[in-house]
Amino acid sequence: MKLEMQTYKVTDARFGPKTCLCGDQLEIAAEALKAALLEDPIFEDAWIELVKPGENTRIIHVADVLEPRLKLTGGTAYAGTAAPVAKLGWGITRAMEGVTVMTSCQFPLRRHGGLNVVRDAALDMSGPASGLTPFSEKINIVCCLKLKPDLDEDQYEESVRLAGAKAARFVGETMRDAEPNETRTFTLDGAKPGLPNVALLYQVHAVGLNLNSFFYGMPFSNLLPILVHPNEILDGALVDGNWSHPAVKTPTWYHTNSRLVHELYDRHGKTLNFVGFVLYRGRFEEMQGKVRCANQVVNTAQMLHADGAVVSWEGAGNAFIETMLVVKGCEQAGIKAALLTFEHGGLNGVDEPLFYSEAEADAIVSSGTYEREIVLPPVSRVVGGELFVINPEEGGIPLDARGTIELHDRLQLYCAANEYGFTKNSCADF
Amino acid sequence: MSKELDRYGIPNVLITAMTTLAKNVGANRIVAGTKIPHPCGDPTVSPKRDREIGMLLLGKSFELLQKRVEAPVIVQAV
Repeated sequence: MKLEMQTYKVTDARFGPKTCLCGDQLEIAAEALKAALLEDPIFEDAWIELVKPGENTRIIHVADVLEPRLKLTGGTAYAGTAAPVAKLGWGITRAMEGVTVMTSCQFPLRRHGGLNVVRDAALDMSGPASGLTPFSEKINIVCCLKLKPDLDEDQYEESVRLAGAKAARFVGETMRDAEPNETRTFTLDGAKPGLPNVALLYQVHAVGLNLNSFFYGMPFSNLLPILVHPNEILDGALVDGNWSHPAVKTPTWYHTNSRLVHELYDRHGKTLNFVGFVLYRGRFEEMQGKVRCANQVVNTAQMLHADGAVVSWEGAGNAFIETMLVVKGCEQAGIKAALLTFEHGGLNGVDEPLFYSEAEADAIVSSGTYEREIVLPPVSRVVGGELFVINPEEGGIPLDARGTIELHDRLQLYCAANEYGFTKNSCADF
Repeated sequence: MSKELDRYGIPNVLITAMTTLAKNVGANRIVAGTKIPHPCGDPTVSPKRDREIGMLLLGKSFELLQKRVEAPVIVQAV
């Protein structure tokens, strides 16, 4: 299976009468995009905002971030998400670099407490929090969505998720007649005998409503591990639906631009053979479920004849038990496992770094922590709404999103935990 | 908490679904609870059965509390 990824670099964007790409300049017909989003009757209103790198801007209620995509052959971009299921990971895909489509939506706070309560998320384009995601360096097309009242939570979740894919395809369509800046082919062909076989063991958060990942549109909650082609993930088969844990979530953009997949492909046939991508969920609710899941991941890695494994995870808390059991199981099966994770450490960095550990985990890459206080300075522009709601567990405390925001931790900063190594966060020995 | 209680010589039983975590952090008397969100019962079954599970867990816990343990013990109650 071969996937040809053609990349288009866009350096500036503006609103205009039609949606088109002129060289490296993107023009967006905001009214047409708005109308496309409002075809979904769940939304009472929608408006589009452009946010550019370096702006003194805070985006709030951030849900998902996606890359504008177009598939010339081999199905539809983000197939299975507001589009029929198709086999992804082959053919020609066009990706817009430098631009994201971002959904912003304030969900009603119906439940106080509970793990899956929807949490507001903020993303700063400048200031101390701007380095937490790559998105502060992108042109973000923010689709602000207003929900109609009194509908069911699962309808809200689905509509917001689908809106992101629709907008990403809407903008992606502009690449149909453009000339790509760069083309890269992804294939697992070219494995060389004698090189170590390495699998990517990729754990996602998929627990239930507002805390889920979707595989071709299907909630991953009850699935045991499956073997997928890494190209499918690069091509949008895995879509985020986690509106509950913004700091430790994986926006769809992270899946489709996975550095782990790219780096393994970079080394494929040179220093290692990339043998496969095992997709699995964590946070089963009892030990038996966790052990069952981890065993199946290790079994799959063994059947791939893996000599080594790169292990990543999404989420926090007890989801880490599956991750650690996978590392342990791999090591016991003779598969060297390297884990990428954030650390806890508490406010001063002296608390336990990991929620759970097993002695076999002897190769861990730290991507920093989100448990540090941070003060967000006032901004001149807020996108998505006016009030940033913190502490939903206590019923929600609305803060003026434009003002100074003092936070004891970074739980409500978008992607602050850096679980995939996308930000400038790291760790240092001292 | 369990570790600290032990340190002060107060025997205690930890009921949790995350049994290996409890063991790894140093709890000594562990009873396996039903599930992480509801270790002491099961709201998905009838109230009568839910109460039976709770009583069973408590019974096992009191048994374990009276036992002398030399190393961490995990008891599967349900």
